[in-house]
Amino acid sequence: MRIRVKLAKDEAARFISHLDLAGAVEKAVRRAGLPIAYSEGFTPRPKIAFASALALGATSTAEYADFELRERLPIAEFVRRLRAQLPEGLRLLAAREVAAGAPALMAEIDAAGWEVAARLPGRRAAEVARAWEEFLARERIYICKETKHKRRDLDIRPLILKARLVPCDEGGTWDLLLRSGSSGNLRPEEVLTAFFAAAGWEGKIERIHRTGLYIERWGELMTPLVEPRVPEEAGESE
Amino acid sequence: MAQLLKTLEEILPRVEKPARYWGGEWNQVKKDWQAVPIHMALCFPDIYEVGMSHLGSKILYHVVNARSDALMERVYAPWVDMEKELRAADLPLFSLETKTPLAGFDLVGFTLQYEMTYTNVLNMLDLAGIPLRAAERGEGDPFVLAGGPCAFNPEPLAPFLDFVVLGEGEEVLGEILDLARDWKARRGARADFLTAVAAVPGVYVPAFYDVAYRLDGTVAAVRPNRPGVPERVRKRVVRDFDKVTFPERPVVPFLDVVHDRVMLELFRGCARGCRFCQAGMIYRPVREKDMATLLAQAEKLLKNTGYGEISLASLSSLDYSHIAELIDALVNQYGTEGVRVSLPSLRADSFAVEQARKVHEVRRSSLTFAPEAGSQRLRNVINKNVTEGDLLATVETAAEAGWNAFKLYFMLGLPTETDDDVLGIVELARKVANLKPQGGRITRVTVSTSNFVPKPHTPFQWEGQVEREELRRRQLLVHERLKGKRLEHRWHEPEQSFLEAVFSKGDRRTAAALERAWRLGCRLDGWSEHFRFDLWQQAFQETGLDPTFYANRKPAAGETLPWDHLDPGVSKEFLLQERERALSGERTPDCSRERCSACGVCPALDIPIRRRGETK
Repeated sequence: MRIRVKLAKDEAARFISHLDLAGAVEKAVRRAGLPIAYSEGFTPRPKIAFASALALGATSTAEYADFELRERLPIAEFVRRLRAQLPEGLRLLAAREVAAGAPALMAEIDAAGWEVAARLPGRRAAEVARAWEEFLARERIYICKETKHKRRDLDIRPLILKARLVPCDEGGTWDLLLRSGSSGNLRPEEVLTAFFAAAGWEGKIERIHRTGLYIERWGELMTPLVEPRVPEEAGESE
Repeated sequence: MAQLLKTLEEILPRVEKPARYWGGEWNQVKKDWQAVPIHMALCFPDIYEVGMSHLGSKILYHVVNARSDALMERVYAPWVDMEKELRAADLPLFSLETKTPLAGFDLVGFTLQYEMTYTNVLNMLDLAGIPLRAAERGEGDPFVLAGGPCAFNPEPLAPFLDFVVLGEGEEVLGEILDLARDWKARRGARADFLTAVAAVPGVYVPAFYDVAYRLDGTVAAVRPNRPGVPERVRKRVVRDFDKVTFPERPVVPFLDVVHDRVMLELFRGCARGCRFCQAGMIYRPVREKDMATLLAQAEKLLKNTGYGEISLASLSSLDYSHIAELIDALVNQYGTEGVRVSLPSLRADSFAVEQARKVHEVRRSSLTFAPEAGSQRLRNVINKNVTEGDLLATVETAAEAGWNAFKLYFMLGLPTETDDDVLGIVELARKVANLKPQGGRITRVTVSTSNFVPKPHTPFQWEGQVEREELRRRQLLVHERLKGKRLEHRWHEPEQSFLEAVFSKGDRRTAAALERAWRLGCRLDGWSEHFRFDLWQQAFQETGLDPTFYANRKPAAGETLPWDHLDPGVSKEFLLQERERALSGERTPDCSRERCSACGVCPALDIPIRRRGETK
């Protein structure tokens, strides 16, 4: 059976890298004695798949992972046993069974929600709010994406799905919904860096927190824990 | 502390692998600071990934934290990026558990595993704001102590240490903590504690000993400078090793550390008697654990950590009396749960291959053997009782069983070595590479040559290291001839080995060069990317010390050695006799299998002489 889990990564665990987090969860699963399924091959690995990597230093209340078990187990028991073995800073928030044949979690993700706190020394709240409005009102916002082999300019405006700023003197808190995954990917620090550059300000990101991961179905965003339902007549109209 | 945390959170996103400095791992012990009277920091003078792989540290962490009246927290050497950040932010070095600055502990203990970490010891003290020299520390400062294998000649660090612990720490550390607790409760003076702790067997207070030198630079004598201090400090050993406390809940790191697995310690000591090996001398005698004890510990360790691998960690694990039964039991019990069993290195015999086959069911990675020398003559000199025939037959069997890559470890510059012996390495490697196993093939033979470093308390302590240029010539001799498609050669830089030799056999005067080198910027010297030999040479020059006096000179048999007042239990007569036997190519058998070789350790430590398999 496959169980999908929602985890929180708190302050205490924020400096664990994504790869190390996977290792820590593997060990927790073994300590909990859960009947996890193993991959075939030279070095069998437990079948645990995470949705999306979180940058080192960020916190999150929306880390998702699928666990493949080799025998059935009541969800409540799975949750109880895994919870008892998770290290400090990792909390299991929710879990449910998903269909064994469901697509890989990682391929499903289309958007991510973020809460970002940043400091803008010397700027008043009203000033910050105005600059942000002007920034968002632009039709196109180009950033330069650099990969190992090439640089390219990318218009990120369409990747910003929703944005709300709670400004204060010397900075503010941003609530962002950004494209994430194979349908386009934008990181919150890229948005803020572009904003600082557009305003000509020296800014400093203080905290990045992931608030949600979403799958897009029929124009709606839903969390990976909600079973997607085919809307009435949607099948015929599309 | 709140300020420290805030600054730390600002710094960490900028450094490589911040988890090294953050703590919070599974099984970490975080005690209520106020509720515990005695606070000790366990400092490992290398980075987190190395330190977290050290079994001795895991044991001591558990031993101290099992007490209700003491706590122990971990501290590792920061990598260069973190050191820069700490210094820029004026942040003191702190412990992982409670982020307490090092200077806030009562005891700050270092484990000395390797000479090339000595500058890290100084750097960590400096980053902590603790006065470097013991003589400069005042009433409010912590006591700085050290243990581990290098503590058997701690003289190069003597001015920086308040006291040194010789031998196994499990029991003696308890006695030290008792004294510290009572001393702290009665608000004693610093000097009182040192006097009290000097009376504990196994504890050496360098300041309580004076060293006199001769005109030729050799040591004339090391003598206590006050009454009540022993002439010689004898090491501590755990008598009933089967019953000794063992960490059942070791800390599980988040980072991928060097040895990231359950470590099962089968026995202490090694009776093979290799004459170059310091561990083989200072960890004597051999004491085994019962198999039932080991199986119970393995179960708890796996259950409490979640590791998928268990390694049999002793000096020569296949020498354990019930090794075949133990491996069978572990593989049967845990193999089906995806747990691998691993062996660090192998003896060159068919038994070893059979055991290796049991533990490497799926993947046939490479096998490692350590013939150490290229000719039988030289292997007799070092008492490495492996023949060419043993090695070839074993590799062939292993290749037939599915292994195709082999690693061979050798040392260059061993006493009496000639070019014939050096070329013997190449020949042996070629013979291995040219084996034609039936139903298998050999795709790679990796030869690793390190440079021999004479170590204190071994039969070779009267040897000098071969000069650097000559070592380099011998390395090249191997290198140029070891070309071939299945052959690979890896070697160690002679400069690092040279410094290792200087501080391995150094006396108190070398402390000045050590401090100077650190002030010039030397640290993380074990990491070749940070090793600065030019700065070390400058440090020796400026302090007027001749490093070759320590590294390359052969001390006379009657000479007082800088570490003669430190007693590992093995007698100097035995070491001298072994040296004679070495030079005449005479072998000395394993004392746990054949006859007792009268090294003196069992009677000296009042431990009954046992044969293999006799645990009681």
